[in-house]
Amino acid sequence: MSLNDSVNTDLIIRTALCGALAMWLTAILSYVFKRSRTGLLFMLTGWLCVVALLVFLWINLGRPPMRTMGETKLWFACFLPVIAAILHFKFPQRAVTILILFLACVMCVKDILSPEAFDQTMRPALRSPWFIPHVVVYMVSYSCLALSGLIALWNLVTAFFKNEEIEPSKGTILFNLVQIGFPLMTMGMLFGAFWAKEAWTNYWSWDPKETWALITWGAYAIYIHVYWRMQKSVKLQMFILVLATIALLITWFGVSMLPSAAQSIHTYSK
Amino acid sequence: MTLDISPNSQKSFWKQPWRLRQSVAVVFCLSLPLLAVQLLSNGSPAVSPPYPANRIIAIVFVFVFMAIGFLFSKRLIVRWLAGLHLPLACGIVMTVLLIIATCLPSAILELPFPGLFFKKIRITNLQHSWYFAGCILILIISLSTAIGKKIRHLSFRKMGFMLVHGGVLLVLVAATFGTSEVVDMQIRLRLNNSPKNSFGLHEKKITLPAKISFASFELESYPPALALVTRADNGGEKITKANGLCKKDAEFNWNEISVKVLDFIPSAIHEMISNDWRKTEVKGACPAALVRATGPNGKFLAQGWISCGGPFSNTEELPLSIGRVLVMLSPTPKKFQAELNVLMDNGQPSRKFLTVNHPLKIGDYDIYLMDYDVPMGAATRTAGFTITKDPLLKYVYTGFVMIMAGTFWMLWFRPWKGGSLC
Repeated sequence: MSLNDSVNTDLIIRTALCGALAMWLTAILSYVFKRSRTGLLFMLTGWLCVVALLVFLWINLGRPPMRTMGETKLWFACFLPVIAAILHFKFPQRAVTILILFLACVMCVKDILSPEAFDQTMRPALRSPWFIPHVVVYMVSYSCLALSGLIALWNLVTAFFKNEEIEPSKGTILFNLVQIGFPLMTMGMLFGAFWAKEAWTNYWSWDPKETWALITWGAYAIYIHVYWRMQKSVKLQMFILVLATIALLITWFGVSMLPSAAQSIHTYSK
Repeated sequence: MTLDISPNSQKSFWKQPWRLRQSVAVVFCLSLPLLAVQLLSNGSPAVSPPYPANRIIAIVFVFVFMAIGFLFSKRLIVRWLAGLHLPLACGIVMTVLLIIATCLPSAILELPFPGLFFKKIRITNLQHSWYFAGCILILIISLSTAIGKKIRHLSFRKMGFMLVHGGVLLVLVAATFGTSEVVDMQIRLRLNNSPKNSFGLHEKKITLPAKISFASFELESYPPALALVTRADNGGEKITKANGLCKKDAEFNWNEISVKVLDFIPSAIHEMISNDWRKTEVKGACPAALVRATGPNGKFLAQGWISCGGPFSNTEELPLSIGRVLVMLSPTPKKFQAELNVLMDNGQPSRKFLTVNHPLKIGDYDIYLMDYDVPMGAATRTAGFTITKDPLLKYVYTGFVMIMAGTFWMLWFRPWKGGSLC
């Protein structure tokens, strides 16, 4: 069976995404009404919908579904509930799980509202053993780091409105998320450099995407240094984390909108 | 609020220990003369000294600052050099420059002012500018001093620090000072031309340890996609690509229009006399499809051949209604491969295949297949290659591995603390 067969691929994709969305919205409601176990069950079911969709796309497209923005968003939505589940068991806090599920829902809604032309094509440069590890490692790190940024923003906003200081222990868990995300981001970036040397003759070409990846990496490196050197400045740490997350979002989504994107060699969606 | 510029305030500003504000001021003050150099040199790129001077200077430079960090670790100026504020200031300045470089609309660069100014300061080519190189040198100084300082109290726990910072230092030094040793030459080879090992002219001439000639070219493409083109009176076009690729019996839908592929020939040629398309084995032939388009309620709109065209046939579109045509898009290449005949200096001949992601290594040189004559497709007679040589690449890669190992060491193999999230 391929995408050109009579199977309505669009319908399958939308059904799976709507299914995941419905499950996660129900999970959010369950968490709101303090039904954590039910929430976890719905979260898991939604996650299975996304995993099934990724498997379906992989088989039908005959290539890893990691080429376009919409496809990477699917991976992001897939990894978020995994982190939510880990956090659920390690530090059971409903607010965080709700935030994570909200983020995963946003990704699903974006994919439902702006469906992409899924096709089998993959440019020769993408046919490399580096492709899958580069994207997967990046997506896991983006999930952890975006999540830490979102929680930091939540903490800053609530502290602002309540006009109170943020406890240092709140910064510790965010640092734990960065502890997972930052080494993986480093790995993803350097895998990309090894791959670029094989495909484009140079490990670093200062392409807009690469430049912003470096800015993002630098921002998280600054956060780590500030966390270690200024343990008591929790607000500053969280502010840097939010800025780093903005840089991450620009690297992921925003680079294609920058004026310099026309010269980018990292464009695979067209 | 008033700005206090009395001598006392200036004295207190520069009083040690220096923090972020002083560091930003220092980086800014050092960057300004380099910016002036950039402007006075009419935008010429910053170059590292030639081999072997570049390596000697790099090693001496790094070791001098390491020694300073090691020997004078208690001095305030050394603490500042090895501290967080100086690299942070450097990072801020570099980030601002990089953001400007990536966010600058290309239209501004076309203007006499400030376009010419931006071109002179190489804002879109920062990596080769004097002031950016200056920032990197400050980073190298800071890292070298910090490592020298840490060596004094080296312990197993600090291994992660040494790996990450040593790795970054190695990458920066090798990449910055190694640019003068890098060879990066683009060449075009014609099919079946006589073998040669010498490329370029004068000082940029390179001689490979083997003679090479371009023997053959293969191109494998995906089936083409179809698209609905809506043309406006003002010449504008809206192209809506179909979901999926073209093949026999495939069906595509664009809201009210449905298209069925009745026949598909992946390699076709247009016959002028019969005005028909037939299958061919000729290299470079284009795909063609016989399609039938229907409107709402299955109303017949049009039927005919469409093709994206190629070196031997013209493009063929299918008009559906006024301003709307069905077209076939050029197929996306799946894989392209060049065969090179390689005759080594010792007389040993061999045949090598080059594809994207699989360069050919001859001695210290890497040869990459970059492109081909796209309009000619598989019938291309020329292909673009890039010959590169980067003697310091192994140091850059070692630095990469050290950074990766160090980040895992520093962040994963340390006690994890609990706490609350929100």
